[in-house]
Amino acid sequence: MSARTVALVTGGSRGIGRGVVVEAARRGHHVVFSHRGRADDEAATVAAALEAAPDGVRVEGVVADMQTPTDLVALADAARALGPVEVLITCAGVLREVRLADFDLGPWQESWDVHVTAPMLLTRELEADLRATRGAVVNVSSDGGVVGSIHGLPYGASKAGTVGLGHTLARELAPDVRVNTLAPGPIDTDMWAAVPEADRRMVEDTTPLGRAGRVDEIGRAALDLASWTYVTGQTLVVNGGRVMR
Amino acid sequence: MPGSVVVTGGSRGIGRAFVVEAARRGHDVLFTHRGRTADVEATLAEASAAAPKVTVTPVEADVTDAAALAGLAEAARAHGPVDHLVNNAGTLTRADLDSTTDELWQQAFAVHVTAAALLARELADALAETQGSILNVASTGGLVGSLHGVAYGASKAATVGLGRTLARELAPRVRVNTIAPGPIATDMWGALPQDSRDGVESTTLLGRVGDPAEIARTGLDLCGWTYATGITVIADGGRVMS
Repeated sequence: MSARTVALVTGGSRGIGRGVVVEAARRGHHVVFSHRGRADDEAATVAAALEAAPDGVRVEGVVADMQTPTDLVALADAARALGPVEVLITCAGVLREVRLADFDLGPWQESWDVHVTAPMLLTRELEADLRATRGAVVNVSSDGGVVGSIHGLPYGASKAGTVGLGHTLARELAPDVRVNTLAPGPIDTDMWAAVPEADRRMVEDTTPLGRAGRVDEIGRAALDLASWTYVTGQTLVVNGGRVMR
Repeated sequence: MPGSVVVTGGSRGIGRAFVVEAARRGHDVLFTHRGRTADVEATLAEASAAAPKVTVTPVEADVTDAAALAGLAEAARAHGPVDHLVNNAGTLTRADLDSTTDELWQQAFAVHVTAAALLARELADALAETQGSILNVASTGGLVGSLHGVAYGASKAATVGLGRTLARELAPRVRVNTIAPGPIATDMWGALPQDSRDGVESTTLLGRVGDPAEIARTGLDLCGWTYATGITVIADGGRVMS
C-alpha cells in the first residue's frame, strides 16, 4: 500500500475486535481502536498488531465509551489524525442475558446504544472521510441477530438492529461507501469460555464444522468483506454452518 | 506451495477471471472450455501475465458429459493436491414459460446442478485431503427470481440448495459456499439492449455493472474463509440485500 489508510475498529482490545485490529495492521492499514481502559489488553493488542504489520504501520488504542457521544467524536478525530480513513469496523459489544420476565430498561438501552446507536454516530462522524476514500463500513452483528438469539432480548433485538442499520446505511451512502454486516456464530473468546461447557459442547456438536470459530478467522472475513468492491448491503453469517443463508 | 484450483467454464467472462485470479494467488489452475481456441489462448495469456510461474491447464470438456467430468477430475488429481473447485460453467437461453422446451430445461439443470454435483463427488476426497473448498457460482436470479426465465432461475436456485446440502455432507473437512453475482460486464451482459443495461445500472446502489475480476476476488477470498460453510454471498452492487 503506497499511502497508508486508516482502519478504525471499536472494541479492539480483546476477542474479535483484537483479531480485526491485527488483520487490519497485517494488511498495512494504520489502526486506531477503542477500548474501555484495560491497559494490559490494549498493550497486548498493540503488540500483536505491530508484530503482524509491515514497517511503518501505526496502531493506537483510544479509551472510549460507546454510550458517550463526545468519546465517539474524539475517536473519529484520532483516526483522522493518522491519515485518510478507509475502513470502519464496529466490534464493540455487550452481552446482557436478560429474560423477558426480568425485563429491565437499563440493559435494553445499553445494548441498543452499543450495537446500533454508536455505529450510526461513528458512521455519521466519518461519512465525509469514508466517501473521500471510497471506503467501507463493516458492522459486526451476530447470527443471533439474524435467526433469533439464545442470549435474551437485549442482545438478540439490538443485534438485529445492527443488520437493519447496515442495510439502510448501504442505501444512503451508495455509491461512495459500501456498508456490510458480519454475523459470527460462537467464536473462541472470553465471552464464549464463560458459557457452561455442556452448552458449548452442544453447540459444537450441532455445528457442521464441529468447533467454535477463531478470532483470526473473523478478522480475515471482516477485512475481506471491507475490500469487496461490488458487495454492499449484505449480511454474512460466519458460524461454521449452523445457519446457512 | 498451494494446491490447484479447478474452474469450469474458464475460457470467458467470470470463469476467465477466476482462472486469472487463482493463478495470481499462486495456484496452478485447470479449467474447462468448449473448444473456442481464441478464448482459451486469451485466458492463458492473461493468466501468464498475472502469474508467469504457475501452470494453467485447459481441458476441453462438455460439463454435461459425466465421462468428461471424470476425466477432468482425474487430470486434477494427477496434477497434485487440489485446494478448490469452482463450479462456474453456466448456460443462459432466455425463454418465457411457454417457450421453455424440455431440452432447454434439462440443459440448465445439467450445467448448473448435475455437473456441480458430479464434480463434487469426483473431487470430494482430494479436497478433504487439503481441507479445501467448493465454490458454486449461482446468480441473484436464483435467490429472488430471474428475469431470464424458469430454466435459468429454477436451476440457479437449485445450485444454492446443492451447495447447502453438500456443505452439511462434506463437513467438517470440505467447505461449500455459493457466490451469487448480479449483473456483470461479460459478453452475456453486452448482448442486452442499451436501455435494459441503463435500467439495471440506475437501480443498482453502486450505480454500475460489476467487473468479472471483482467476482473472482470475492469468490476466492470466500474460499479462504475457514469458518464459513453453506453460505451465499451476493455480489451485485446492492440490488438485492440479504
